[in-house]
Amino acid sequence: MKTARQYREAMNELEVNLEPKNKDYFTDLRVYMELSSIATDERVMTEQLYQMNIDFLDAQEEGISAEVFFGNDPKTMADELLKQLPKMTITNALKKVGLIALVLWGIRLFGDFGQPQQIIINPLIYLFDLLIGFGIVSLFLEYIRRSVYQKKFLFTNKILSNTVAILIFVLFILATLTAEWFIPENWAFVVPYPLDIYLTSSLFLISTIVIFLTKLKPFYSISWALFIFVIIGVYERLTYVGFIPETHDSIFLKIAAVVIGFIGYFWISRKTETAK
Amino acid sequence: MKNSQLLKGVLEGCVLSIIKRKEIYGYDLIKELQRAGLDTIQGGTVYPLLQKLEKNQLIQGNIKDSPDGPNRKYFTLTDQGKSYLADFGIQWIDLVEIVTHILKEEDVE
Repeated sequence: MKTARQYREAMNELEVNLEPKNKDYFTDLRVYMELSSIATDERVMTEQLYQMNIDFLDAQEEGISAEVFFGNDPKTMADELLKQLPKMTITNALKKVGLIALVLWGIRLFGDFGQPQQIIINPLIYLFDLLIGFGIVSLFLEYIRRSVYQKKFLFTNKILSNTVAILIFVLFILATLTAEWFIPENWAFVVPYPLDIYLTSSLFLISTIVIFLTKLKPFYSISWALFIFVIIGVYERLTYVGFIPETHDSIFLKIAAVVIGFIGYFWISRKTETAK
Repeated sequence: MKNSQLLKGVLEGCVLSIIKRKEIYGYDLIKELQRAGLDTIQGGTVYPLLQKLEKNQLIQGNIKDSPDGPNRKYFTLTDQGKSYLADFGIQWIDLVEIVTHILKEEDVE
């Protein structure tokens, strides 16, 4: 039995054979259904789309367009299909929540590690990150979902829709950055040197091993970004405790590391994209 | 009155009847329905219906290996589906009789 990921990869291969207008139709349908089925069984949804994709390829060979084959109201068809989808199991729901939590908490932990100070872990802030992350991500995904078949100006005007997307993202960044101003520190604790280095290095190694073992290609570039964060963080710690003397060149080293990080991130992202 | 409104009530029975005759996949079913005279039928109607019938356990979908292409999902009728179809057949005959009678009376008037 194929997994959701295998169905997605299979659909990516099939879509190469679609004519441009048909590909647009099917891509919109796919995006709309994937964004609308967050709380449903992903495998069943992707299997349904995959079977429709195969059938449509046969129809295309007979000169039938996607609009004629599926109809000119794909949103209604998608909504009808979504109604019938089974709900996600609790195990899968917990896995999804866990993955999102790991990503959000990883961003905060590695970001804090890169600062020239000790890591302070405040569980309330980490909980806040999770809640705000879910809220903002849900808002963003809902906006993208509605924009697929929405004919209103707010969604069809590119400048306006990009502005909305950026505002949502900025809201998320502001909320996470300013969390420390208003969240109490009652349960905060310091992770002292060298425990902070062991912690972040171990987490980095474990996440990288998992990413490469499970072949999560979209995360290869993130693994590289984490590596740069860890390098900068280790340098900051060793400078902070006096192991490495701080010099005037340190700021340039950090800038160079960040630039190398960005270049590496985009290069790896491109490589994994073209490898598809 | 649009044909589609009449069709809504009977499409399930038509689909189950075709599936009873042979194991079939989505596109093949659409072509069979169109060949039978329902030439306006589209995937947008059939795929959600197939999903609903499968969810209600009236049909069963099985992925079959294909020697010259991707594996397809073929549908067969379940025992529940056969029973549902038999009931539909009886109700349809009764309904046709009643409606024909009513329309005939209207003609007479």
